[in-house]
Amino acid sequence: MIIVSLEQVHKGYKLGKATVPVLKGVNLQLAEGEMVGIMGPSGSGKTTLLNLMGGIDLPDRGKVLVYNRDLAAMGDRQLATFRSETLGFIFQSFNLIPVLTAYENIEYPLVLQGITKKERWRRVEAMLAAVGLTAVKNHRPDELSGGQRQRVAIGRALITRPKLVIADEPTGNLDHQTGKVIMELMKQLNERAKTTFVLATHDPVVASYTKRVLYLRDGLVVREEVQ
Amino acid sequence: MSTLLLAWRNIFRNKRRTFFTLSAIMIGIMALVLFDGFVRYTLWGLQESTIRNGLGHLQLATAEDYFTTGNFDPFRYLFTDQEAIVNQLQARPEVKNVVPQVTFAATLASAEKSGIVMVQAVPVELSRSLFGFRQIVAGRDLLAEDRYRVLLARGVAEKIGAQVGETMTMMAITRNGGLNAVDLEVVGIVTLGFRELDNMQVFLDLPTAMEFLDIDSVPLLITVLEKTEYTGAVKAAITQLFNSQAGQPLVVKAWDELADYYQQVRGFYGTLLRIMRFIIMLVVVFTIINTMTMSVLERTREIGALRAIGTQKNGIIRLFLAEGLWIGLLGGISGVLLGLIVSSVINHLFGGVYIPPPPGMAEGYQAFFTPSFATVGQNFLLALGVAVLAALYPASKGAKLKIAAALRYL
Repeated sequence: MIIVSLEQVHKGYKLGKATVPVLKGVNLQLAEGEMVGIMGPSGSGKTTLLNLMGGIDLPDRGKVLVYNRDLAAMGDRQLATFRSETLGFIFQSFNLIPVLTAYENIEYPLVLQGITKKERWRRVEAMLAAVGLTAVKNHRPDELSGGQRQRVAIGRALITRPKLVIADEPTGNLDHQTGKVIMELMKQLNERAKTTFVLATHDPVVASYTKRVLYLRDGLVVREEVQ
Repeated sequence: MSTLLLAWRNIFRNKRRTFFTLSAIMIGIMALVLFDGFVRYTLWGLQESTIRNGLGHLQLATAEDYFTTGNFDPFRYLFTDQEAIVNQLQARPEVKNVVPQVTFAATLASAEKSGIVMVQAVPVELSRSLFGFRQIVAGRDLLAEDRYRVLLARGVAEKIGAQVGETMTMMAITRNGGLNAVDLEVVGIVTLGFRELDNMQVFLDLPTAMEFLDIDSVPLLITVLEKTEYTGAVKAAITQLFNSQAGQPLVVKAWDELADYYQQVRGFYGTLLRIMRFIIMLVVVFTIINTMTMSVLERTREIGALRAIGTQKNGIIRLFLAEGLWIGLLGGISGVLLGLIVSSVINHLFGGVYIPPPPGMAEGYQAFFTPSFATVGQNFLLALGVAVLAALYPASKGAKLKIAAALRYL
């Protein structure tokens, strides 16, 4: 089943008076349960592509359909609810809330969904165990290593049982070894829960964990590899 | 993880900045508490000195215009059933004394000089309760058995060069329209605290004045109450009582209707307080806007992440408003506490603060800080409201951030 579909998507950014085109008519489709890598050099539009799929940016032209819903047609409120219920985000620089503990960071999306405290506790504890953070659950991000922080971010992204997880350079700020561990973790979660993952990277090792890799250059998908 | 708890932790992220912001609010609120306390004490002092400088709490006369022109023609306003009225007033438990008074303009002359004075005549045994703020500066007070003896206010004594023990001649128009003159011995010189009063007042015992003016009742009954707070209630009660009775029409005035100077001072301080409050709140508003705008800027990426994972715009606004609320709450509480502590230290350890004579006053005074529960509460709520209001601008700035741009922010 196709869950993400981009049709002739254009997106540019204003730089002074000029508009710099970033995506120039991208077409792509993601199937449910896939783990897809998007590779390309810096500035090729990887992050922009992910932002459009995640409904945190809107295309200038073309259609972005996620679960058959046209994101451009949704209001800000609807989009926020949609992101909260359907998507999980993992960022290169983790973007955790510094004043919250590992436990509370993972719990936060459930609070947004209005889930009861007891149910939250049950799910967060399970997630902490799944990402291997039970021992440091009461630590704040600045007391955690880079790898631990990204595990928290993964926990936060997956706690709502999203259908689609969008990861932008998830290992970009981690050393090689830790990056591999994080990728193993994501792969496991993909296989176990059948969660769809789309991740942008320019690290071929990271891309090797995915089954399908799309190559982006100058705002277009120029190549596709299926392993 | 409620918004309030998250906001609470956020305000301590940059401890130094929060400390300075809180200090600004704290000092502002403390200043307001102290100034309120000072004004309240000063107004209370002025109120009591006004009441105890011959005004009393309530004044009863037979006509409205007695209070404007009566002193120059007291004979038109004499009570016809004075004793019955005094008895009815005296029967009320709130009433301490009912003091019959006649006030008239007269010429007072020494061997060399003369001047126009205002003579206040009351029974000597009741004069303490009416002129509690009168201070003897030379000689002695009038005694109950004194007849044809007089007390001069300091300014009057200076004007006509009178000394204690000297004999003065007083001249005035009497009831039948003739001019009467009498010799009076100066037994003492007093000050009333107000320069205006010190320059015109002369005190006489009531029997001497009545005999001199040829009257057998007075035009004014002054009621002194046990407590100033009773004024409004007693005024309403006796107005109703006398209105329901036949006989001479009566007009009742409360002290604050007659104390023009008090009203002016009160108005002046009220305006001053409002201006000060406005300026301090403006400083608080800009301090908070500055702090929180900086906080929004620093947390741009974090706001982007919160929005990306599904926080609504309202959620961001609520978060920053809650931070404003905490800042207002902490700043307000500490400001109020500091204000109360400083008031208490000044009052108890330093015995107040000496204030030089204000305009129109003869003497300086020792001021204390007596902030009221109501104004302290008001200032606290003001700080709280202003802090939340000030947070509105940075909050909406935070909520309006474009998520993709916020996440790219370095």
